[in-house]
Amino acid sequence: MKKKYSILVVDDETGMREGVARILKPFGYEVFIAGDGKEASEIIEKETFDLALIDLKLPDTDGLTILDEILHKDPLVVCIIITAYATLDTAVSATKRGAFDYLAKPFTKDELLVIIDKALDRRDIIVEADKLRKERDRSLLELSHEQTRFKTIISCMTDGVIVTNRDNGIVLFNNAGSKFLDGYMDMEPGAPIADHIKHPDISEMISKAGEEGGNTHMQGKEIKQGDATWLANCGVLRDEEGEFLGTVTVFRDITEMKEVEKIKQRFISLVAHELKAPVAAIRGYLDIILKKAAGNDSAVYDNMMVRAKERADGLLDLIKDLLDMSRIDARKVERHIVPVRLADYIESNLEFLKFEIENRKITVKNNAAGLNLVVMADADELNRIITNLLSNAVKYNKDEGEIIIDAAKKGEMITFSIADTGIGMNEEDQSRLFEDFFRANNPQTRKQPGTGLGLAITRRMIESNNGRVEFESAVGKGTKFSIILPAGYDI
Amino acid sequence: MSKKILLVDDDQDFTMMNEAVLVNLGYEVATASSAQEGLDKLKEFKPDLVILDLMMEHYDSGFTLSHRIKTNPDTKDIPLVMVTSVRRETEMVFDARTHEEKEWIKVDGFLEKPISPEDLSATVTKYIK
Repeated sequence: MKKKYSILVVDDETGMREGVARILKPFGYEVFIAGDGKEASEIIEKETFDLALIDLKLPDTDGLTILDEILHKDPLVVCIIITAYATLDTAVSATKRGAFDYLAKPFTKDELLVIIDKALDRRDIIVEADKLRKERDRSLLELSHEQTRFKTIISCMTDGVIVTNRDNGIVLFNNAGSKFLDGYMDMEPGAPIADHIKHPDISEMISKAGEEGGNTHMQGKEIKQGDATWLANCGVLRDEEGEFLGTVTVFRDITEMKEVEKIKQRFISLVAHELKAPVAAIRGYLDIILKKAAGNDSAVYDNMMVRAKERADGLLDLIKDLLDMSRIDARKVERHIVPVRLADYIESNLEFLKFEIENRKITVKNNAAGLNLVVMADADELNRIITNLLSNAVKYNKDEGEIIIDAAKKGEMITFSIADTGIGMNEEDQSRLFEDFFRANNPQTRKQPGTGLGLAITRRMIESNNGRVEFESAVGKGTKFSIILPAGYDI
Repeated sequence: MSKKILLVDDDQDFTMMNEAVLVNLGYEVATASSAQEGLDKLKEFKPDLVILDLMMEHYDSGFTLSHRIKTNPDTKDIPLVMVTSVRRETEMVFDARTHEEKEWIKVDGFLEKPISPEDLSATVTKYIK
């Protein structure tokens, strides 16, 4: 169905406006008529129409005022001014104010129909154009919303992002990315990356990706900035046809990762070194034994085998300690924290070490004996904590020395201490006491077997049982370890 | 009279095995487990060859002892073989082939750990005529 146009006719001459309406209606137009400004205003207010024929001369106002009124409400209405005084002046001023054309009185029916046709064509065109413009505006608005969203997302990233075009010009970067740029505040879009990037390496990586038309795969580079290490990865951007558009470089802070890696490396190299020494010794002994390189005296070989076995035992201890440590660190140990009587474990450990204690003529003053002190701990781990500390107190004691054990309840905690009268430690050794593989190096300690992991493990176990360990030590006087564990209810 | 060799190393496995091998080869052997003990034994034992570990309790004590042996007129003519395990641990090669290198590291030869009885025997024969 053809669209029905509506037309407003404003003329103070009744014959004129009725005549026009009569001409137009048979063509299917809807016609509104007004005899003066007031009537016209009412129709403008209420109705919508495509076209207006306005007499320039009205009793209460002039046609140009009505023209303004119509265009103010709907700028797309096509207006034709009717005038009896068809001068160039009035025509020009009317079109200047937005009229489409003018019609001089008197006019014929054909003249009227021609100008109406022309005006309605015009109306169709401007309505269509308006529709298109609105659509475009809407999609532009959506696009700009999209861009804003995109920029917000990118700027929130903790990773740095710098995007370059095919000419290696910077087209986009986020806050984190700006760390790697100099003078980005007043940088023109598309400014050469080489002029602004702080690390020439990165600019080289980006231009290299471009040179090869983006054929290279994602490549990474580590860069240092201040104390931080960043990993920069450069990827290639392409359109749907696969055409190279530019690059996107993402910077990730890998400082912590590097730190962990370093600690791991150091630990592995320490472990490897500690494992190698006994194996090398055992291998050396076996080599000599197999080759009979020490002659025919079997006692020499016996000594070597005894020594090799000692080294193998030490190696086994080390491996056990390493496994314990890895289990504790991985939190794979299932702990049953229950009330346990401290004195029982101290006594059983003293019994276990009795032979060595008597051998070295060490006096034990166990002030915890018979005390009904209960700690909350995993029984097996508490036993091992006491074993480690007591055997150290024997190992590093002097002959005919003393071991003093004290225990007391302080508030919600139980403190027990194991003191020896042995070699003690200097300040440097004290500061490294709990380090993995640390062993104080002096003639007294060198004679004692040890993995250097005992105290590291002991501390981990005490802390895993919600306790803490303290110590005091003086060279030549001895060392005292104090363990503080939560108190349990009486059992 | 049998020739005398002084072994200086704080690794007691090392001194024990090499002493046994050298004794079997007919040498008279003394051992020391520190640079100081090595210096003392040097005076009383008067060895014909010193085999010395580069790294003992303190990292440079092997160097220090070798320097003292080689700068003392009484001992500077005693052949000195330095034992190292540096190559494996640091990828660094210690050697003294040129005159300049021998000036700097004042030793006559090097032995790399682990040392096989054959290597030990060959090295010792080379320096004790």
